[in-house]
Amino acid sequence: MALNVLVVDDSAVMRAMIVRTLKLSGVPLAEIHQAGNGEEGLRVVRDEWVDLVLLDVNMPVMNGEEMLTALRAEEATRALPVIVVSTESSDTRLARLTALDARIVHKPFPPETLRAMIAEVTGHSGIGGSHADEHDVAALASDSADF
Amino acid sequence: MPTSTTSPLWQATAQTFEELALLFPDATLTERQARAPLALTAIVEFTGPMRGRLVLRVSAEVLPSAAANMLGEDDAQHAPLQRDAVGELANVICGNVLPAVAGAEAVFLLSAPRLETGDVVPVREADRAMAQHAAVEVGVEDGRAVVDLWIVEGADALLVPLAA
Amino acid sequence: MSALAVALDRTVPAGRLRERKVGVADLVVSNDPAERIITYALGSCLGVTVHDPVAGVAGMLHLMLPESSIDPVKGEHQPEMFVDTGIPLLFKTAYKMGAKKERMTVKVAGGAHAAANPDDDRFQIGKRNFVALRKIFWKNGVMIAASDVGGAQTSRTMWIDVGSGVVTLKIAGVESTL
Repeated sequence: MALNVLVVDDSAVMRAMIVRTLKLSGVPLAEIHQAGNGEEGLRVVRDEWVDLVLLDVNMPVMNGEEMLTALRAEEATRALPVIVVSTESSDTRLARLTALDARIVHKPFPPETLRAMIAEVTGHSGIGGSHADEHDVAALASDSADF
Repeated sequence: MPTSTTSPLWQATAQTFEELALLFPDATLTERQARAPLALTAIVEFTGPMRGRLVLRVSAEVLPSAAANMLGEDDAQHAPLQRDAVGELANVICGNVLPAVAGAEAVFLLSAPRLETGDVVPVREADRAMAQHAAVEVGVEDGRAVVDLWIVEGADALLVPLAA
Repeated sequence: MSALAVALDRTVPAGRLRERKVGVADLVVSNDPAERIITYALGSCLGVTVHDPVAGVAGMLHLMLPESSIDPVKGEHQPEMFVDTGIPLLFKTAYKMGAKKERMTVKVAGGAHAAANPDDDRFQIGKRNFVALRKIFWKNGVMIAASDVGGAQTSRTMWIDVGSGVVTLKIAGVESTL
């Protein structure tokens, strides 16, 4: 089943990097939603069906840890898979995030590391090929001028 | 005194440029790189066991390639995206250098990057006198990047000397 | 499933494989399951292999330097030498034999420091090569399935068996599957 994914990060460039990695990951995708902070992210989760959240920590308005805490407090999103993608390196904070059932990918990350985590969390393994299916190739065709 | 390439600030800067911007940072600058005017400043404030700021300044030559590489495109002339890309580089360098100097237990709050056009070092003279400071300058493409880490309060909690 | 079965059919016992050597700044692509493509003594150079199990195509590039802009004439006459000219050539040669990008598995080895202490490696060619490789792969939507890069003065021998696509590394006499 194709997944609806939410990417929450205050950097538009970082969101674009994560979306690109998602498209290359081989995971079947339906809609990709984006949000610039935790508050916007919670609004998307309330209004849309979301199967997976990729979440930054340091953001204005509402940070990722606050958003994650809010998600876990609601019955409907208690088990929603969340991958925290952040520069966060504090053992103390990482332990708090892990206790809230989040998986962690540290920035800066090679796309392969994020792809492996996405595959693990969703159970869809795209590992092996450069792309998993023709759909992803078509999506990238416009910027694949070289080869 | 230039900050050594084994210092935490150098390591965080080099790793971030290599892995996030896919640009190789040169420790030794060419004449052309050293002359390149700094065109954009990104400032990340942090609070926690220490208070201070990390300032990343880059020359105009770095802007299109950093943004294009991060986005996976051949070119990125769109100024807001270029600014966003430099802000994210500053954020990632800051997030990686702090635990290296303050220890893995320390929890910091990082501000969203503030972008200023031109070459701006926002440190008050009073702070400058008391602050611990480290700086790294790297050659990138035909230009350069300069990273300054200022610790204004709580520098006695440093586990690693900044410039070592 | 059928792709896997086809790949297995092509596997030839190691003892009966013919070796095809890839020199420095050189490229070999093959669809002969009886062949093994091999390169010796990767230092700061990078060895890049591709494999399409359905088309039964495997290839290897042994590249030396990141950018052809340092010597455009060489880039034109010996594109295998550089990341930015060699990598497109590797993929395009594999396509001509029927390989498809979306099925290709890409593996990378090499990129060692030239000095015993990485800080003494003034030119850092190994690291530059790998950063340039990551850049061209990211821009072209290619993910690396497995890699073994870096290390101080590490010398790697790398080979890929065309039939199975298995990539093997030999470092200081010890063999391992990549």
